[in-house]
Amino acid sequence: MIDCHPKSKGSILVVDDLPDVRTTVLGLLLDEGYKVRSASNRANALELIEAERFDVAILDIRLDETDEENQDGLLLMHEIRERDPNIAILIMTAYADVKMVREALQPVNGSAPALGFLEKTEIVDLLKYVELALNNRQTKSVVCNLITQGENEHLEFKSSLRWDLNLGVVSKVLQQEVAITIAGMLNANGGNLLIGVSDDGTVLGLEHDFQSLRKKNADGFQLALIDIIRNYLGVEKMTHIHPSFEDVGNQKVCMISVEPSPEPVFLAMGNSYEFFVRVGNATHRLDVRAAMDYRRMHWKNGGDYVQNSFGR
Amino acid sequence: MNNQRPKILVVDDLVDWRTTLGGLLVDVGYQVAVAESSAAALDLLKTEHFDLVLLDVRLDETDEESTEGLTLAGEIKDRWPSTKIIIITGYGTSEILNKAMETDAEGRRLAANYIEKTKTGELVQVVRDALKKE
Repeated sequence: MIDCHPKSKGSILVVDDLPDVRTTVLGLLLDEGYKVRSASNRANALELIEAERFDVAILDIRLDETDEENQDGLLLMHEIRERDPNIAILIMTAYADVKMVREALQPVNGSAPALGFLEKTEIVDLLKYVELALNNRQTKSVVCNLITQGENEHLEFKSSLRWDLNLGVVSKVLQQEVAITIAGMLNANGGNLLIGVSDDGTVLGLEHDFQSLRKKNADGFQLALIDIIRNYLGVEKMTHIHPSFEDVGNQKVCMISVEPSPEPVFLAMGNSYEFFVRVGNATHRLDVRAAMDYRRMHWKNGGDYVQNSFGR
Repeated sequence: MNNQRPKILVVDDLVDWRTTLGGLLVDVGYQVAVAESSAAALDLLKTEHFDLVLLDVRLDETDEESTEGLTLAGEIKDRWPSTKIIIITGYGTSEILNKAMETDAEGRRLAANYIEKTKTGELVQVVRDALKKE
């Protein structure tokens, strides 16, 4: 099961060694309707992170007022990122120096560990930052919500793009299936294809696909996808196909959004061409006669696609 | 585990008090929600169970005579008898407090206890005691 963020406005962890600061910040957030918890040190904070799910963590840097040099907050920031990269981190401190700010906002693996850095005197801005952090999270959870929906006319899951998880080899058949699903969606009302998710909605991630590629990351994956489109559908069809990568928990999945095509799309198979249409939650091959009928009905006025139910 | 933390509702029309009292209680580990009026409090009580409600007597700062908090306390006692009530007051009017603390024929009383706003230091202890008592 995946956690797709419950209905509550968002849950927030506040870490500061000073009780007054904690209660002030907690009260402020509470009054906005957030679910809040607090910790006074690194150990307690990590215990909570491991036991519960948080959307945002607000961290003080000096978690021991008696020690001028203490920077436990920065350490904690990295520890939280390791455990749950989806938690947005806000640093709040009374004693910021440039070095600290740089460490908190310096990108690691493409993204900064902290989303924002603010001084304790700017507590009013805190709510703005929290909202920003939660908005970020909500775009991410589009994929999460799709997974909860389960497969339907507009949504299909595939465990992988090219790596056959059962046989442990790169599979031509799988790649062809991806092309067929996309062709079916192009010829029907469009939809989304999620790769890295099994039929029953389990998030498997893309690591196996990545490892099978020369460039073992999202870039390499995207190139492989474009290659498949080029081979089976023609590269110009990419204008209606929009891949993006999203994090779900600790896994990456690829969401391919497919627009309805303004004209029929044929799939090249060896020396012949085939016509596929997505109907319900499956893709069907139509023979020549059925394809002709379908074309007449679906693309009225010759070739203009008449948008019907896509994009509800 | 999450669900074993007692749930407390803080009802006060003054934002500073709501946030101070609410913040204090979260910090010691309680699950807390806040409401600024009787209506908002009742909406919350209808959707989730609270172990304790901490409520301001007046609930309407513009009206010196307001005892809306007591009315709300009575309604909570009727509809959710297992929910404990603590009255918070900024002005220890003994008459109102007597009413809240008075025992009825069956030996029950409206509020488990009361606390003055000037004594927030005692808040956590008063809440703990109220939750312990049966």
